[in-house]
Amino acid sequence: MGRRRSAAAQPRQPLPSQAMSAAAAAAAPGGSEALQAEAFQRLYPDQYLAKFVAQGVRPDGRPLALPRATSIGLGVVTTADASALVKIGSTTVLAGAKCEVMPASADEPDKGRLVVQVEMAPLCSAECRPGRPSEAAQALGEQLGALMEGAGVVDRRQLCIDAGKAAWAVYLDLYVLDADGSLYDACLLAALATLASLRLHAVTVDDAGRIHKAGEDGAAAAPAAVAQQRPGSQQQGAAPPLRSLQLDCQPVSLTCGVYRGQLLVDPTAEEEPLLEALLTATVDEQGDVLGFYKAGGSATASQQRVLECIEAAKMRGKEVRGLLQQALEAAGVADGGAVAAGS
Amino acid sequence: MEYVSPEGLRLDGRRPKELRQLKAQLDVLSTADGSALFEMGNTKVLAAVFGPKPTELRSQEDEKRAIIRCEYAMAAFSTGERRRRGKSDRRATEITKAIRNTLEQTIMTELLPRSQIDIYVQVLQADGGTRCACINAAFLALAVAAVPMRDVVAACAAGYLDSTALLDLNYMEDAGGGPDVVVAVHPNHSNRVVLLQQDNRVAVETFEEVMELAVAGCRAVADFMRGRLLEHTRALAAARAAGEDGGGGGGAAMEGDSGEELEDDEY
Amino acid sequence: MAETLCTPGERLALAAEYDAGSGTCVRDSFICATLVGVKRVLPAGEGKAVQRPRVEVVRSGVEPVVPRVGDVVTARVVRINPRLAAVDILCVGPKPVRQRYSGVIRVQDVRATEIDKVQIQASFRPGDVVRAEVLSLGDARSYHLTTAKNHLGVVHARSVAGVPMVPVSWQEMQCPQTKAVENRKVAKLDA
Repeated sequence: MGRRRSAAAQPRQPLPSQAMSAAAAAAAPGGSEALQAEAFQRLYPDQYLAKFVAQGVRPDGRPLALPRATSIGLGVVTTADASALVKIGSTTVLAGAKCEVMPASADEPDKGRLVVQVEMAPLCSAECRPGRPSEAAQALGEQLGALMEGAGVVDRRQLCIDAGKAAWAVYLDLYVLDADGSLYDACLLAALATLASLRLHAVTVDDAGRIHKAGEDGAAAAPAAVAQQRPGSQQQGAAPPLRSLQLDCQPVSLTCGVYRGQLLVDPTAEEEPLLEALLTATVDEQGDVLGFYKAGGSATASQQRVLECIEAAKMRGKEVRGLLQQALEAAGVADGGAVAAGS
Repeated sequence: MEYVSPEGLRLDGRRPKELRQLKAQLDVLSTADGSALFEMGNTKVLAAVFGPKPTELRSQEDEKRAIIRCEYAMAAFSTGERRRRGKSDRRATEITKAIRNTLEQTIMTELLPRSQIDIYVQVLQADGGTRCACINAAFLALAVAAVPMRDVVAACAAGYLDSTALLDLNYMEDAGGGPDVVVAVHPNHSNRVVLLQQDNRVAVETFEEVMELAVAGCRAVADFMRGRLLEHTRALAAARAAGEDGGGGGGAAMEGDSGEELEDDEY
Repeated sequence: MAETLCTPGERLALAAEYDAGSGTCVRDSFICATLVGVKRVLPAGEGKAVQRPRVEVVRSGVEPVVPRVGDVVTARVVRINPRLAAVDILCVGPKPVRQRYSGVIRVQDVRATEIDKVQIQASFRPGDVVRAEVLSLGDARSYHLTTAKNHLGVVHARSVAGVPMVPVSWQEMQCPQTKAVENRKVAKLDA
């Protein structure tokens, strides 16, 4: 029974007083004792939510179709090659990418690797236990990895350094720091933001297997690397040029819940156990469906519901890609923008 | 490698007795009873406290005092080289023990028999002084969670390179091979030492000098943390007052809510 | 009125002149704070044998909600056996609790009359919400609760069909859908 504070620190829409009084009910019919809102929620969580939904709002004041405030912060961890901190409401995910040079694999000599791992830090929720990775974390990691491959987000041939000899392995580690619903959406966004802001060093590998960053070793530096240095730019000694990762698509997901015939967009952790079904739709910028996930729950979902969820995901996709673009521009790593070495 | 320039500047431009910039954000996680994000220069640590709560495993219960469980983890991308998960990490175990012992001495466990306090520390970015940052972050999280403590506990490290005592070593200086003294003290009780760790051979006079410097660093850290805690408490009180004014009617309901008490109704 | 805030370890007063209240401890002949909060000095006791003024540190804002003897609590039944009903205390009066508190209603505390004929499964079922009074702090794990008063007992229960039931008498509730009657120790509620 972890307590979840009602976000004194978060901006919150003012609760319509109608909804509040609609949500009012005593523990006992006709009982003389009045219960506080939180007490009522503890005792009768389903009725509590039902009262709000009947008025078209949620306990946190949102309309049914509104996702929570979302923010993306880039470059928050300087030890990582790229990082992103994503918040959807209270849900917080921190992603970091580290690139390592590896020998090219025999099966795919012209491709590199992208490894996605998710960890639910024991701090993220009162129910989390440290130790073996939880089932939820493993499932998230698996789903994300499958999406990256299946949707072809990153063409791994661009991770090749020297066909047959060396390639980049990009390790993307995600940490769920605060679990308040819609974990997949936050993880996917953090992964996307990290990859979009990742810069790979131009390197060469010599015959002895040593790695040289272009620009350090005059003989090994390709002429292309020299051409990339702008005249008059401040390059202090060995400042290797960087190239950004090309993303073939930008998948964005949205999780929705079905509750008493209504679709609740972006449910919180408190709402989740009360929902009849949980649907997650992933779409790209063309509106194509990249992934859909509905498992279990007490109700099956109609086709119409599925389509509603996809439509909502498309709208969300536009909003989120806009946020991502803003964040990339603010960090100075948007496509075509000036690339500062080491930033 | 020169750690202190002839002008007396270190690799990152600091003076020998200068602490790195300290930053702290309190109450950052929504389910934890207390949480804090603490930064010492480039070292960033997130700590969360769950409890005090009834002991989960009867076998571990202590009828005289609370048991403290501590977990420490470093993010894979927190260091220069990516840390692979899964290897049993002796260093991590040792650090966890040091943190737990330090906090056990600070928390008034005898006031909370038969209960348990879980402390989780996640290192997001490591640049030297990791265990000190962990202790400080954990202290702040415990204070936010209103766990009774004897005193503030503040930790800081100091070393000795290029014949100079240096305060709050970063990763490069840490790796410099000189002695490294980690200290945690209770500042309100004559700076009594709670934790003291030192490795590397060092002459006694140098050890004393370095230790004194570390203790002075601890005091500065303690002042900073105290200031942040007071600021946070004042901000909360102000927010509460504003919430109650705007709500009208009823007693205190949920924090930040409009404070209406629910009436009877049919349901 | 300016409030004095303090942090753990701060000296608040001399132990010789004041009593140590909650949120404080005595150390080296001083009363020191153990929490972050507001320092309050309560004047020398009225009525009781308290001789000296008391210093305490109150954590501003959230007052911890802890069940005390005599409090009326609202709890949910977690499991039953022939000897007792185990419950999770959720609220003390109108306020929700911040931590988990367990309670038990022993077979002798279910009702005031015919105690030897009480059957737990005819009084409570898992999932029921009950109103009870705290008898004692019990043993280490749970509070001892009683429902042996008219206004105590089950306030909300679902029938086998999953529908909230309506009280019929002090020991029966009826499902509005199937009309089946189930036994419970029902709380009598004032009009």
